[in-house]
Amino acid sequence: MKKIPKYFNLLLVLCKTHIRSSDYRSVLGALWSFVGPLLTFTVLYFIFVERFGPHIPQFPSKLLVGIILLTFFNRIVHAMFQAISYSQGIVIHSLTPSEIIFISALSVPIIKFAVEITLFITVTVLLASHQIPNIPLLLAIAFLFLLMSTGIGLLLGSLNSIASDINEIWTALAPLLMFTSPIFYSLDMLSPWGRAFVFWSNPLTPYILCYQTIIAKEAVPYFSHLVYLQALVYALIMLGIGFLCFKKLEKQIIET
Amino acid sequence: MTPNPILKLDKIGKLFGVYQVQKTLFRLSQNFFRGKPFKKELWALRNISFEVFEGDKIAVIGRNGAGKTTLFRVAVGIYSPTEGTVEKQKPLIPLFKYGIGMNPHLPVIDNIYILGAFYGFSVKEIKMKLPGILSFAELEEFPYMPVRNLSSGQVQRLSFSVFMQTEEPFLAFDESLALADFRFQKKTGDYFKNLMNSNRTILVASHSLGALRQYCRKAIWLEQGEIVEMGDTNEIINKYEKFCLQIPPES
Repeated sequence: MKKIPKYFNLLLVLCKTHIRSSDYRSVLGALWSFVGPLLTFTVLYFIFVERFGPHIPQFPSKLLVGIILLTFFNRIVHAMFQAISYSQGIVIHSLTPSEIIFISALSVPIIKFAVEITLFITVTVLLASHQIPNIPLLLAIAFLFLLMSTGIGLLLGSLNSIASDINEIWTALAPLLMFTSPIFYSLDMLSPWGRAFVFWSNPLTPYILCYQTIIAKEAVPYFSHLVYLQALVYALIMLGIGFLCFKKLEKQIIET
Repeated sequence: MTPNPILKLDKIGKLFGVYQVQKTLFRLSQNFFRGKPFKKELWALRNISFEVFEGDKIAVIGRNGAGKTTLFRVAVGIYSPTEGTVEKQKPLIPLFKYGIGMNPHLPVIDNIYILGAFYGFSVKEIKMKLPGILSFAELEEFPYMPVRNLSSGQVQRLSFSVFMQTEEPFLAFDESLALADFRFQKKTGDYFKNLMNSNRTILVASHSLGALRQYCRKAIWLEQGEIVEMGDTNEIINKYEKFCLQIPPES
C-alpha cells in the first residue's frame, strides 16, 4: 500500500484504460450496461409483485436497489478474478505492485454503481415523490460494501490461482445469492431459522437492508441499528481475510 | 579505493514448487487423501554470487532453462531468493517482455500512454515524447488503429520505442535484443551501441552471441542454475559454443 503514491500515475492510466475498454466508452454502451439489472428487475417485479408486493412497503424501490447492490457485488468479484489473473502476466515482467492492478480494476464497477444508484435516486425522488435519502450515509455504506466485496473477490481470486475450478464453482453458485438475499422478500416473511440464516450467513444482507431502509426512510426491521455495525464488521473481516489470503498466496501466484 | 558494487548477489538459490497434478479441487484433494505431494521441488538457481559495478555491461548466456530469466527476476526483485542475499544500490529496470500491459482493443496512442506508465513516465512526459515514439516505431500513420490490428513486429517496435525513452541508469534486457524486421534491427542496433558506450549499467541475457560479443566485456555462463564460468565475454562465449557443439542432439 505504501507503493501507491509512487505508482499513482500508472493507477490513473490503468483506470482510464479500464473505463475506455469497457462499455462506458460510448453513451449507448453505458445505457446497455443498465439493461441487465433492469431486465432482472422487470422479471422479478412481475413475478413477485402480487405475492410479496402488498406486504412490503415501496416494493419496487427495494427490489431495484437490491438488484443494483447484487449486480455491484458480482461485478466487483468478477473484476477481482480478472485482475488476479491479469496481474500474473504483469508482475512477472515488471516491478508493478499487484495492488495497483487490483485498485484500477475496481474503477469500472464503481462508476457503474455510482451512475446506477444516482439515476435510481433521481428517478424515485422525481417520479415517485420519495424524499431525498441520507446521501452521506448511503456513500458510507457503499464504501463498506465495496470493501467487503473486494475482500471476497480477492479471497476467491487467490484461491482460484491454486485450484483453477474455483471460478467455475463460483459462477454456478453466485446466482443463489439472488434467493438468499432479502431482495424480493423481506426478512419477516421467513421462518425464524430462515431469517437467522439469511441475516447472519449472507454477507450481503446488512448492506441491502441498510440501503433499502435508508431509501425508504424506514427503521431497520431487525436487530435495529446493529445492522450498521454488522456492515462495518463484515467489511473489515472480509477485506482482511481476502487481503491476507492474497498476500499468503502472492508468491505462489507469481511463481507458478 | 575499490568502488562499491551497485548490485551484489551472494550465494543466491531459488527453489520452485512445480505442481505435479492438474490444479483442480478434485485432483488436489485426490492427492491430499492419498498422501501424495502436490509439488515437486526444483532448484532453478544454486549458489550464484557475482557483483555488478557502475558502468558494467554484463552478458548472461546459457541454454534454455539454464536459469537466466530466474536470475534476472531475482536481481530485479520480482522473485525473492530462497537462500542468499541481493544487495542493490539502484533500482534495476527490466525489459523482459514486449507489450506488457497493452490493451489490444485500444488504439496505438492509448497504448503508448499505458506502456509509458508501466515504464514510469508521467502523462505529460509521454505527451512530449509522443511524436518521437510514433516516428521511431514507424507508426505515425496509424496512431488511432487498434493494437489488435498491428502485426507482432509492429507491436514489438511500438513497445521498444516507448521503453527506449527511459533514462534509468541500470537496465536489464532478457531475450530482448532480437526485434522485428532487419531494418528495425539496424535502428535498435544503433540504440544498443549508444547504450553500451554510455556509462549506464546493463545486464543482457540473449542467444544473439554476436551482439553480446560486440556489446559486453564481461559474461556469465549459466548451466542448470549454476554459474559455470564468468569473465571476458569472448573467452566465455568461445567455451560456451564449444560446449554446445559437444552436446549430442536430443532424439
